[in-house]
Amino acid sequence: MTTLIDPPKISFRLSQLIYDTRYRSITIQVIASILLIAGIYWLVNNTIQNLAALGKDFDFGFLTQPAGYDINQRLIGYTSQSSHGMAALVGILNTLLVAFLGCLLATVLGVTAGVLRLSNNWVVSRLMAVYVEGFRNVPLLLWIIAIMALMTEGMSRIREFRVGGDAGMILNDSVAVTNRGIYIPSVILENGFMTSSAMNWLVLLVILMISLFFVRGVRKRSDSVQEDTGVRPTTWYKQLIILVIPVGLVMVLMGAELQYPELRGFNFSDGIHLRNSLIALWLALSLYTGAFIAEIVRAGILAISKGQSEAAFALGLRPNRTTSLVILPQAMRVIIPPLISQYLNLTKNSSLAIAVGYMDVRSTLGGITINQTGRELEGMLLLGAFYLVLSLTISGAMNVYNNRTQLQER
Amino acid sequence: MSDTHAQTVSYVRETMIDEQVPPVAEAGVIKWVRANLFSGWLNIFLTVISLYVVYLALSLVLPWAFGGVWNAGSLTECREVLFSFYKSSHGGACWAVIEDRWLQIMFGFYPPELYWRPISAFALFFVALAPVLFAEKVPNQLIWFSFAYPFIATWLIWGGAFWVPVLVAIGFVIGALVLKGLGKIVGPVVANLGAVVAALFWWGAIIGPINDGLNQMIGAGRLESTLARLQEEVDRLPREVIAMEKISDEKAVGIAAALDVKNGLLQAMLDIRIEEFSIGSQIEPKEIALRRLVGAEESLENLVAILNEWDGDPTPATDAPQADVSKAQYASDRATGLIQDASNLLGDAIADIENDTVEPSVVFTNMVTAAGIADPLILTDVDVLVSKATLIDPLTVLQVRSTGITLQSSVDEIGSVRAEIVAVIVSLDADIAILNGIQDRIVVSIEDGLVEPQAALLRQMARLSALRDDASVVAQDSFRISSAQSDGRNFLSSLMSLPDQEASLNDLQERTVSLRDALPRNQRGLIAVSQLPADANNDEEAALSSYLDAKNDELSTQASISATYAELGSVGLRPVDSRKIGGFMLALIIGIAGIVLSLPLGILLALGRQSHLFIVNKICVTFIEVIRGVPLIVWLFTGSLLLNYFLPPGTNFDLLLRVIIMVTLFAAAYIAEVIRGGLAALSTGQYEGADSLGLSYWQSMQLIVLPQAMKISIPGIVNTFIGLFKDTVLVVFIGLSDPIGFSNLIRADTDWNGIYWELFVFIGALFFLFCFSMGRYSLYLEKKLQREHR
Repeated sequence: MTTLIDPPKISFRLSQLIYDTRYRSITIQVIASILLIAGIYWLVNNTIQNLAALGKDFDFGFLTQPAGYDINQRLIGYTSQSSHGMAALVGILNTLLVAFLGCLLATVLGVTAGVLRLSNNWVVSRLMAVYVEGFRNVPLLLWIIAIMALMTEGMSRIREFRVGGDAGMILNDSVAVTNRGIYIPSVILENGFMTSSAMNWLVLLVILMISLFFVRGVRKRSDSVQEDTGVRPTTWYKQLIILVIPVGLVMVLMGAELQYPELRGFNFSDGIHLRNSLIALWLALSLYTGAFIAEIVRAGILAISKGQSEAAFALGLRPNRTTSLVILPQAMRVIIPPLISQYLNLTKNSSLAIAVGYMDVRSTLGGITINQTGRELEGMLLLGAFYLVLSLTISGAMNVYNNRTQLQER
Repeated sequence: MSDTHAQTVSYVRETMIDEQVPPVAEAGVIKWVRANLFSGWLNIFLTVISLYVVYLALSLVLPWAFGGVWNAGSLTECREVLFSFYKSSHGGACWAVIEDRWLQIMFGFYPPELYWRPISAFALFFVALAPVLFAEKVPNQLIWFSFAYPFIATWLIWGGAFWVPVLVAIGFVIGALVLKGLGKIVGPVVANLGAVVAALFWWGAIIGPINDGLNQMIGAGRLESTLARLQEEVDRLPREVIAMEKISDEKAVGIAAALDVKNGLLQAMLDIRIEEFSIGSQIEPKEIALRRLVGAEESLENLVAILNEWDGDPTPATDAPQADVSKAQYASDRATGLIQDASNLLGDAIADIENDTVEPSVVFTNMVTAAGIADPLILTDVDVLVSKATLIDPLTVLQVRSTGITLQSSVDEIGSVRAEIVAVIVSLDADIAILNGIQDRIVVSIEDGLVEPQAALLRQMARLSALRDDASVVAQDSFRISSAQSDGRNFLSSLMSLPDQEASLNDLQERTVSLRDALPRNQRGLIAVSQLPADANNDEEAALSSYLDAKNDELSTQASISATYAELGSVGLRPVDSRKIGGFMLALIIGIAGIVLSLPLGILLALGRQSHLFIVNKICVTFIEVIRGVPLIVWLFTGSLLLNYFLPPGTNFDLLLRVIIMVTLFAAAYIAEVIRGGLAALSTGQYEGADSLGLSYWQSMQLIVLPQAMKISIPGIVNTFIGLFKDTVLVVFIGLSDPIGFSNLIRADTDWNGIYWELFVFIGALFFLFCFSMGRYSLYLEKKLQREHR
């Protein structure tokens, strides 16, 4: 017969901190924190000493001082008298602009190339394979400077656009491709409702949003009709009308008019001037990232087992509905996370703007401002913080999406 | 029923029909083409579009690439050769630049006589990689070579005394011994810490003195013989330099003679083509005039459009709003401008024809008398040419009429002027066509005569480039000798002053100590005068600054003594400066060093990110996310601008080393994510199995988890390496000369100014070769691993 005896109470000994797994984790963490704090202290102390030796201080006051340099491409009002902070903001907007345009074009290129690479057509799929491998395996920087060289060396000079010259504008005299950039028509609102043109565009944007809201309503309604009756009403024309008519009407009321670029003197005036640097950076980023997106799309589509489409066909779904209702929703779950990380890469790669002199945030805040004020520590910190916040925001959004679309397992 | 059926059938086949050959459209190539390329409207459309794109690309690239020039000394010479083959400067590639500079693009400014060192380091890399990638096929002992490889490669590339890498490696051995010894006594936590401390102590405090001691010991023994050798060199080398100069002068004479021959050939070809050019000089002004006439016609067309739109002179109604008035004003201005344009363009066209062309009779004289061409067809063609007056007279009238056009002129009137301009355009066009025909005939007639000089030119270019290669070998030798001479002189003078320096070192040390003692206690740690408190007086500042000066003197004397001994006592390879490393070699060094060095850190970070220890986990997550969230270029700038701020005052090291540090930290974050994927792919059974065997954390990681996780991660690591290798070109922005940096340097040379595509194609092709083959290899590994895990 056995009797239960309480295990002897062992009082805490110091050696348990090292040998007992229950306490060892605490020891390790304490040591790690001490090392971390010591390391940070060492770095900060070195920095303070070095700064003092150079007679510098740590101060973000330079952001309010006048910048004194011009930025050739700006989305908001800026003169050389504006502050360094303003210059940084202009740079940030330029970074976001090229990143946004790049993500759009890269998605279009990538999805097209990815789908076509799976095509049965041998020529097309080989061509897409050449595009994808060619762009993936050569450094982005080389593409950027090659496209830049193509634009500056290969295109016609502006004086050749004069009457009697060699070059001509394309697309019914509306677009001029020159060695200084591409000039495209702009839309101007002659008698807008608001005083500033930005406000007018904002009004249009708001109207567009409202239209989109109603389009969504129409879709939801046809969804519920389909649930009830099994027949989906045809609504594409209704959606189109809701989307186009209000915006179009307001634009007409505002006196919208296309303003074509026109050669005056030594340069084109009117219209929008897309600089070579923007074009080169935008195209190179899009083509390069597009190649990666193509692989992601291809992998996503291949990841859906053939049984899925066969089952859908067996249920009597037509091919396009099979794609939109069965294949795509599942493929998207595979495609979206790496796609977002490609967008992230594109945004970070836009810092290669330095190669073509595009005035992004690295060139303004991290380039000219640092050189002029000698505040490399503060400038680089702000620059890093900007990219970090941007990345974390995007990857945070990605995590939310992932959690929402994740396969619900047991 | 079946019975009746059987009776009604009159014939039933009793044997099978032989298999038939399928119809032509359903077999072989045709079936494949029908099924794959032309199976539906969309497919046909896509096929046609892509074939057109392929044709367009090939028709642009192939003639350019294969019609290129391989032998030339500069872009100008390339263009001369292309011109003599009837090609424009964009009609053929100038591959000569690659021929001339490919070694630089590969190795940078690394001394050519030492190329064997990086090449053998690269070859040994694959030997070192073998135990990792083909563990089952090579002997296990080879893994020791893999561990030794980083030290061997560093030594091969940078050179220096052979004991430096050995001493550094001993640090790791000491660390491992301490870990093993202490681990048995006090457990892993303390043992790990102890190992790190011991190794750091060895590297930080022991290696320097040992290295200096070895240098001094060997150097002292060699002092006499080295002095004698240097003296002899100082005597001998100037003579050699003079001899080399003589040789290179001779070579220069040879090159100049070859250049003369080349220029003579070019001149001979120009002489043969003289009539072609004289006709060309007739065509060109007429073509310009034609474009101007077309412009004038277009201007009038636009004018008519404006007049039609406004129904005559653009005038707004009297009560029109302001906007309309300004529109009318604009249209009116534009119309006036167009009239002016038309008139000016007509005048310019007249001037072109009047001043820059000659009468057909002169052309005729040129053809027949001057050149003696007797092709009867050409002569008949010349007869058809119209005289200058025929072209100019109507134009003069038209110019007067166009000047008379006003906004009140009728549309019909302008229309008649337009029609007459068109008539002149047509006749001018015909004239140009005839001239072009004549030129083509001339080209055909002189074609045979050009073949011989063209071939001779190519031969001469090849000879010239062989001569230049010779000369550049001589130039390299001469440069090596003269730099050996100046190095020898410098070394000699530093050897001469060595005894003095050693003697003065003691005094300097005493002086520093006494000055330091004179300072107030709280100021002894300062490193700059600007650190003194604001209320410090002049005496304090003077005392501190003299102390700092004395300290600097002492340190620099010490550094100079130890540098002299290092050069004197070194046993090993000739040291090569980091600045000389460039091109693809630089990209490979940064890429490989980044990946190899980041592996240990990456593994630790991945384990830390998986760990349940809150603080360790958060440290690792923060590190990884911060590194990954910021572009590499920002980290590189941080390395070049800020790293000095974070390190103890006075630390200053090589830019390449800083880049490698930043790249290592950067790659570690990415590698950590790859390995985390590998760790996550292992089933929890593996972890639990290891735990149930009673293995400690490190044992289970080392023996069970990591070997499997690393194997799964290899493709991911290779992909990270490809990305990193491509990203190494970013170092061009902080002043290192990678391949793209070299393409800029080459373009900065006057010989190759304006060359783009050849360099881009070459660099791009090399990168493609590297990255594509590595990518395929990683795909192959992935497939192999998948099979193994099934």
